This record gives sequence, C-alpha cells and structure tokens, in this order.
Amino acid sequence: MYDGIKLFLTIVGYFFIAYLIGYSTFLFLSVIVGSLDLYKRNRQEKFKSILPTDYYLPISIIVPAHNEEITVVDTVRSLLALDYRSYEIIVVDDGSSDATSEVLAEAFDMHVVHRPIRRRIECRREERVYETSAQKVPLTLIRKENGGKADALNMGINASTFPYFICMDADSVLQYNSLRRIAQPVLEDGKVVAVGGIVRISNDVELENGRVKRYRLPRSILAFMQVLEYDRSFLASRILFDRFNGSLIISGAFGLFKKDTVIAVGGYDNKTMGEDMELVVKLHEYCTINGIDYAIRYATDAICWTQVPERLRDLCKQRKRWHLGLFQSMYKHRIMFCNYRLGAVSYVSYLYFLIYELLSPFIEVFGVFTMVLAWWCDLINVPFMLLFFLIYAVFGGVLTLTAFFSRIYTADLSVSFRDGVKAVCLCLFELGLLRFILAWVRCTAFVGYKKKKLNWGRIERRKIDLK
Amino acid sequence: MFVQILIYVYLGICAGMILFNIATALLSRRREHRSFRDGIRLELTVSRELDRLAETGAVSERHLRFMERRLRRVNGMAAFDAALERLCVRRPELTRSYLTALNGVTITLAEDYCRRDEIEAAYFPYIIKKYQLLGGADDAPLKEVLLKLLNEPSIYCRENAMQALYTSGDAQIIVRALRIIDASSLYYNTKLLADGLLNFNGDKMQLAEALWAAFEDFKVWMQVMILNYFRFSSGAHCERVLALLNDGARDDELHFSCLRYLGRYPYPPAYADLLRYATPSENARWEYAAIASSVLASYPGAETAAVLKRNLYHPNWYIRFNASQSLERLGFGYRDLIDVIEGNDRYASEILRYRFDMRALEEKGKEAAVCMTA
Repeated sequence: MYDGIKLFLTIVGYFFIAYLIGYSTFLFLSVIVGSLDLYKRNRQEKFKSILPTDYYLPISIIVPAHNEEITVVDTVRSLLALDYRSYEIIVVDDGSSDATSEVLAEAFDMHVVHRPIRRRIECRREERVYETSAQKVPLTLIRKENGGKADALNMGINASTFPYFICMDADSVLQYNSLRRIAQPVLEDGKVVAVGGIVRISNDVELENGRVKRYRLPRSILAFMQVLEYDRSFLASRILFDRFNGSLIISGAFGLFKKDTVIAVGGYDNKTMGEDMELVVKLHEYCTINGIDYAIRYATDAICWTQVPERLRDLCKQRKRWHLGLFQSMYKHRIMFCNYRLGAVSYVSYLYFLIYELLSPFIEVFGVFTMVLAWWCDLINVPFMLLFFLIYAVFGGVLTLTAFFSRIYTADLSVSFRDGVKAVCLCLFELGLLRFILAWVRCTAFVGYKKKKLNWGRIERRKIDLK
Repeated sequence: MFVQILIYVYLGICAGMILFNIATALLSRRREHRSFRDGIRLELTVSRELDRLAETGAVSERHLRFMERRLRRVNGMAAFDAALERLCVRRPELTRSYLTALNGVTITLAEDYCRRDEIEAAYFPYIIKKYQLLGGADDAPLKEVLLKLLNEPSIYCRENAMQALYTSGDAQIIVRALRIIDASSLYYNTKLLADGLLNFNGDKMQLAEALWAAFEDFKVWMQVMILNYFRFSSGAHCERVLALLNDGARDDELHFSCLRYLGRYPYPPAYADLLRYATPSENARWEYAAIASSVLASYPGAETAAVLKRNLYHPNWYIRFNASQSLERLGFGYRDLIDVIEGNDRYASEILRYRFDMRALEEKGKEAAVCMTA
C-alpha cells in the first residue's frame, strides 16, 4: 500500500514538474512578447506609424441589454460622444423586466417604427422597434422576447446596416478613440474577420466623454487583484496568441467582427454560455475548413472600460460562468483538438486552453490534495516544498508586475507610489491565494449547470463615473 | 538536482525581469525629460538660424552640417518636429524658407531613413508630409525614395509615403505610385487610397486625366478604387463612366462602381440603361438591380416610379429595401402607394410603412429644431 502511494506520488511529482515548466514557460513567453509588443506600439505611436485619422470604416455597435435601466442611458450617451464619423448604435433589450426600453426611449426621443428586420440569423421575435432622428448617428432600440445575450446579439446583427459590427456590454464604456483603433487592423489587412479590443478595469477611474480624466487603481483589493490578473493573463497572453493568429477569445465586452463571416457561421450560439469564445472558435474552424485566408487580430490600443466585481461572491459567479462557457465551447469544437489542418490554433491555443484553462482548476486542486496525502504519509520535504512555492509565487509575481508596469508605461498612465507598492504586495496574494480560491470555484462550476443555461449572469455593479 | 537547476533558472529570470522593470522605469522617465529638453534646445538653435536667414537670406553651412548630423538620429528628428511645430506658429514664413534651404539635408537623409526599420522609415515621409517638403523643382530624388518606400511590408510606411506624395501636386508621380501598388502583392485598402487621393494638392483635373490615361493598365481593384475616387471628387466623368458601364466585357465590380457614380451625378443619357439595370434579370447578379434601384432616386420620372414599385415586390431584400428608399426620396407619399401598402404583399407593405415612419420622424425632428431655434 505504502509503495503504491509512493509510486503514485512520484508519478504525480513528475507530472507537476512538467505542468509547471509548461505553464511558467508560457507565462514567461507571453509576458515578454506582450511587453515588447506594447513598447513597440508605443514607439509606433511616438513616430507616427498610425493610419491617418480621417479614414472610417462604417461600424454598427450592438449593445445587448437586460434589466439595465440604471446604466443603459449613460452607456448610449458615451457611445454618442465617440470620436468617429460613420457608425450606428443598436440597443437590443432582451425582454427586460425593468424599464430599460422606456428610459432609453424617453432619454433619446425615440419613437416606435414599423421596421422590418431581415432574419439572416435565427433569433427570437422583436416586440417593438424604436428609432430617432434626433441624434448625430442612427440610434435604434429593439425590444425583443427574452432569449439570452447571444440571441440579443443575433438580433442586433440582423438589424445592423454596416458590414462590420461591434459587440459590447451595456455597462461598459468605450474610450473616445476606440472605434478608430479597433478598425485599424481591418484597414491594414483585408483578411481580418475579427478584432479584439482590450478591456480595462474602470473601478474608481474617472472618465469624461470617453477620456480618462483621472486614472487610479481600484480601492477594492479584489478589484485591484483582477487588474493584475487581466494584465498578466488576458493582455499578455492574447498578444502572444495574436502573433500566430491563434486568439481563441475576443471579449464579449468589446470586439469587432465582419458581419458576413459571422452570418456564414450562424452567428452567436444561444445554447452556449461563453458565446464570445464560441464565436471565435467557430470562425477559426469555419475559415480553415473552407480554405478561407483569414486573420483574427487583437488591438491593444482599442480600449473599453468595464467594471469588475468587488465582492468575492460576484467574482465567483462570473468565473463559474466563464468556466462553463469555456467548457461548452471547447467541447462543441473538440474537432480542433490536435487537428493538423488548424495548425498552431489547434496545437498551441486549443491545447493551452484545454490544459491551462479548462483542466487547470482540477489539476491544481488535485495537486493540493496530493500534497496533503504526501504530508500525511511523510513523503514530502516540507521546507523544500515551501521554498518551491515561494519561488514559483515570486516568479509569477515578477512576471505579473512586468506585464502591469509595461501596460502602465506604454499607455501614458501613471500610478501613485502607494498603488505601486500595493501592486507589488498584491501580485503575490493574487497568485498564492486568489488563484487557488478561483480554482476551487471553477472546479465546482458544473454544479447546477443545467439551471443556469440561458440566464444573463448578473453581478452587482456601481454606476460608472462618467462625469 | 534537476529541480534545483530549475529553481535557479526561475530565480535568474526573476532577477532579469526586475532589472528590466527598473531599467525601463528609469529610462522612460529620462527619455521623456530628454526629448523635451532636446526639443527646446533645437528650437533655440533653429530660431537663431531663422534670425540669420532673415538678415543674410541664407542658412550657414555649419548649421546644415549640424542638422544633418542631428537629424540622422530618429530622436533628433522627433525633437526637430516638436521645434518646428512651435516655430511654424510663431514665424511661419521664415520657417518655410528655412525648410526650403534645408532641402539638401532632407535628400541626404531620405536614403538613410529608407534603410531603417519600419517605424523609423515610416516617420520620415510623415515629416515630409507634415511640413510639405515636396513641391520644389529639385525634389525628384526625394520622390524616388518615397516611391521606394511603397514596397515596404509596413502599411504605415506605405501610407505615410503616399500621404507625402499627395502633397507633391505631381499627377504623374501619383500614377507611378499607383502602378507600384497595383503591381505589388501587398494588401492596400482601397478606401485608404480613394480617400487619400482626395488630399492631392495639385491640379485635380490633371490628376483625373493622368488616371484615365493609365486606367486600362490597372487591375480591376485599382480601377474600382479610381472610380470611387472620381465619385467623391468630380462629376465631370459621366460620359466615360457610362461607356464603361455599357462595356459588357468589364468586371461586375467595375459596373457597380459606375452605377454608383451615375447615382451621385445624374446624367440623363444614362437613364435608359439605369432602368434596364434596375429590372432584375436571371442572367445578371442581383446587385445590379439593387444598386440601380438606389441610383434611380436621382432620376425622377414615371418610368422610374413604375420600376421601383415593381421592385418593391421582389423577393430579394436589398432590391426591395433600396426601391422603397428611392420612392421615399422621390417624395412619394402614403396615397401614391396605397395599393402597395394595403396590398397582399406583407414585405412590400412593411418596408414602405417603415419608410413613411422614418419620414415622419425626420419631419418631427426638423420641427423640433425650428421650435428650439425660435
């Protein structure tokens, strides 16, 4: 029995060494590539390697909303203030039980019109369509039967008139130049079918007409840790994936898509919780299988400000949803697993998401249990284990700080000395504590999975400070 | 042993990254301070030279040598840019003369910058464009360098070079540039080119003639781009555009562009052809009928109304949609189209109702604006 446990723990030990080498190598590469890319873009900006500002790609902005009566008017107001010439705004009210449609119609002088909507993608029926001619760009509000976020987005796509659309959340704010920046990759390369924008955390940031009036890091420790996590895991890794056209996620909070290609793949899947990831995975699969030369890009200078949960309960709810969405998307497109036709998307991106995102919480929780078992059997060198953990945490922390400061320096933002110290301290906590809490939460994401299928997954948010 | 090596590797990486962070923080702060200081110093130096230029009518050889050395560094060029920005506001005419005197230096630097990395190579044409350094009699070598940049993989480099060339006012050089782009396998967005041509500084008619003269040598995408440029620049090409439209051997995309041109600039001799294109045919792509239905909004008449009314019943969404839009633009009202609105075709009726709703909204908006003004 004892020998069996010993053998088991030895195998587990080797597995974890391989697992950690893999993860730390990926982390190292993504932070290095991400940071260098940010510095390069900063240099490009300084030496005017930017396309002239008076070129515009007509864009439809789709804002799916469900019970957003508190934030939706401010969101639309911020969209109307964007520094862009040719765009339209389509708000899709997905059967709200509050007065989302009414407050919007009243605030922007919108009236019911008999607008027929061409169904190019399946979606629930519209109940009323409102339009107005009193704004600087066309503004449409569609009140439809409840069908979930994906269904609302599909309705928005059906109603949109321009060849490219942007999906965003009703409680997010686009930076004043974000449309110009997100459209740039399309002007640079005709093969681009989707562009991901960067999502920045707006908790405690003061914004005025889509411009940052005062940047400060969140007062909430939980939100602060998410800032660090976003910089390390999302910003850096997505830049790395972008290098080989391997992005598998474009955040639902801000992404630009070529409408015809999205329609060709059937739009957003309303049976999946992570509809944003599912769409991107589907685009990869569709374009590769049909021999379409395509590119999915990531624009690190196209910024959308969004709030993150400040309560652990809300954060857990959000991460459960994300994890379920990840599982559904990966399972649905399991054809991408080790598929030579998809190349690096399959062997690097899909494999990374499978091992280090989908299975990682189980692997990490399993690791903790084996450590307890090893300690119980007296088969572990505790001081060495602690040293190893410490070094691993310092390694992760240093890389997190590198990604964080690279972003701060290259985005012309500044942080106070206090916030800098806070970042140094919290990066260790984030890796040593929050990561394990979230690993457990993601492990338990499948409990009650059927019940959550189409709900909007609400979390408590504060009103964004738009001045 | 292996794990220990691994730990040392991790520690080494950590130390390296910490040093990288500290060095970056210090350097970025120093660089900002230095570039500001350099800009001020250079402004003073150039300002002194402007005084000298005002007095003697010439720039000193020593200054030209100094500038050549200084501007070889991209940061020196950035400081020069910052200094010029301020001087152009304070002493515009003298600065202009100074830049003309600096022409020799610019030509020497052009070849050098052309060989640099894509960011620095793109910065040079940006400066040329910003301060309009092209346009003199002896700037041919500079134009050649800019044409060379059109083969660079970086779109920023190519676009900045094109932007600089637009300021030259030389129609022939633009046609040469377009030939290079056309022959290249690198992607160039047609919208960037068409909108860019609108910035051309010289004689627009001369440019148009040069483009027509070379038209047949270009590939279809470039021909479409040229027609799109004409659509936004001048209505003087209707006759040639109609001839292209009626040339059956041409590409469909080119025909679509011709239709749009004739929609923007109504040309009565094209009316019969437009009516023909607006009539959906099984042998032609549906886009012909859809675009022509939209274009007919600029050609009022009984035949137009009949074709558009018929297109309201077409199964294709875009044909129906454009026909309804044109009818509304032509001023048809509820009573004129009551047979369609009250008819059996729900799609035709819905689309018209929507058009009239929108018209009502617009009128309401205008009334509100009048009330506000009053």
